[in-house]
Amino acid sequence: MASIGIRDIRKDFGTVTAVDDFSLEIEDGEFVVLVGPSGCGKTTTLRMLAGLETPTGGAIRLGARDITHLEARARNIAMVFQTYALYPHMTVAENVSFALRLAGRPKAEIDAAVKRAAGLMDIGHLLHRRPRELSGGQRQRVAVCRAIVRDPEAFLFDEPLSNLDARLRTQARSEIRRLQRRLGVTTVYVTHDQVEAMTMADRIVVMDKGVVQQVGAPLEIYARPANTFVAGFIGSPPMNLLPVEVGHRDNGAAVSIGTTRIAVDRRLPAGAAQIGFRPEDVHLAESACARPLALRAEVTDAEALGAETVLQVDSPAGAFQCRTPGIAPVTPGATVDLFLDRDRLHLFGAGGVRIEGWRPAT
Amino acid sequence: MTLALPWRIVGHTLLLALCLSILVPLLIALGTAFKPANEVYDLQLWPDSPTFANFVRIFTETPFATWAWNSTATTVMRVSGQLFLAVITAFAFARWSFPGREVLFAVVLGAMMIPHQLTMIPIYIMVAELDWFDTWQALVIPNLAMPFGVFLLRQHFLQFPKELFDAAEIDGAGHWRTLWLVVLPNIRPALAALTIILFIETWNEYFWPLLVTDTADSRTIQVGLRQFLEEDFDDYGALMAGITVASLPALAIFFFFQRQVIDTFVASGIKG
Repeated sequence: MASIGIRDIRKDFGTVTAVDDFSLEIEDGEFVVLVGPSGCGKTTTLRMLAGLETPTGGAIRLGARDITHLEARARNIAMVFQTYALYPHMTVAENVSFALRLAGRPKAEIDAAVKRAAGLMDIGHLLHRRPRELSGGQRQRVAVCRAIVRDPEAFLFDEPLSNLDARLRTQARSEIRRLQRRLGVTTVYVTHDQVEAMTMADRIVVMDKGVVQQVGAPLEIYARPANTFVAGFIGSPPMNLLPVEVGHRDNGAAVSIGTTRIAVDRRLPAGAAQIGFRPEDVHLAESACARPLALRAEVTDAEALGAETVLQVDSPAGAFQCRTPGIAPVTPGATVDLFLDRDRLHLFGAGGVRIEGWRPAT
Repeated sequence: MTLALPWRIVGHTLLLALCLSILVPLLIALGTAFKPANEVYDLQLWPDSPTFANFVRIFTETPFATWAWNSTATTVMRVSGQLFLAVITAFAFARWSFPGREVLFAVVLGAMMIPHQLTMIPIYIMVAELDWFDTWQALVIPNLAMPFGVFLLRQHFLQFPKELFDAAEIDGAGHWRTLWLVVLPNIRPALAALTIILFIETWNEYFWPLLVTDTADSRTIQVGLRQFLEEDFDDYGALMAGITVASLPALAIFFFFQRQVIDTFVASGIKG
């Protein structure tokens, strides 16, 4: 096991910059998830860690070793691929033992290692099958087994669950996390699925257009997104973002959401901004009560999911989503009164950057 | 789409004629090979009393066994060499970036377009200067480069899943081991098809061996068979027996590798 240090790595493909000055310290045994939309540079970053791409600039350290220009096979890093990349002509046992056989390990040692890894992944009964004879879930387990059999210093996962159905994905998610905790191996996991990121990571790195947008613990990122991109990417449904105007008063500033004005206790720069609130921080009011952050809106759609209902509403301030527990007694076309949780509002200024230290006045 | 009945009759008649035009000469050759000398010119397709006399005669009274050995050995060496060179050249073109790669590949493609007859004379002169007449190397070495094989295998290497290359690299395989242990076992259909093409082409080659071999002991089977057609006496019985024997390896190779092609397609797990 080892820590990983990434300093200012960059990857250019011709004139296109895929990863721009990426820096991160990953502790020994930590589970870090790189998350972002397609083309954000997360897989390129992972491939640079694996040694499958050479960085244009910067340095990568594994433990005390500088591995920036080391070949993939010399890094002692294992990788699980999105398509699993199992060798079709080999049996499961041959797939799992391939790296050990290439390294020239004694047969007894290889057999013992394969048996131990297969036991961990519960695939002992599949060892004599070929990949084509396995289901998607079984192939994914074999791919993980092939990674752990080598006892690597770090695991890299490149969207390993994206080919599984929803039920298997949930199960595999927790299995991978349990296995990683048990083995204590430093892990970098790439996904575009923010639910995977939230449920598996010790720390999440949110990327967009090759640039790190925010690094932090899942709940920290959820509660305090650094910018509107993170706010919109993390969370399902995503955070509501409405355009607002910051106006000045004699004794402070005020934010106008449609016709509602919120006095804030700090003088903010005047101008256009965005206010953000999570769908679960908007509540249905039982009547048109005089709450401070009340909004009247028309329901345009209601998605009843059983445990909760997600409402799409249209208000004078703009359209947004609202999540209410249970079955909401409203139908599309109805007018509802809503109020916002004043302690859970987020304000983003110019360039979508989070503004800290502001609060709605009491 | 179903053709109208008259067109189907025309189609089937044409196909039947085509089949017969291939099968009848084969049957005549096979029948003649088993005919005793006095029945060779009979119109009867199959002899009344089939005999192995022609087969015994070509092996005991002519250097047929030597020709067969020359053909077998040079064909195996030439096809193995062609396959080896095609594999490593195609792999380099498909997997490595190097200056001038596209230009070099265009040269390879260009070489495919040049008729063999055009390069035969310069190569003949080269063989003469090397004093290689009547040797196996004259039959093998000038024909080792196979642009078509390079082209065919390069296409297969380009289509090979990139993740498998990456997985092999992470597992610790270098270029050679990735090629031999991961890539080649998974492109068996292409290799089998190419082997069939190369084998049959080499085995049946007539003109080049005729140019570079002179003595009876250095001839290949196809050139040697010509000996049975003399100006004063055409020994059709021996000729057809020789043709029958000469066809057997080509048929065996075809059926063996055709089976490989089908088995591998059926068993392929790359896309499944």
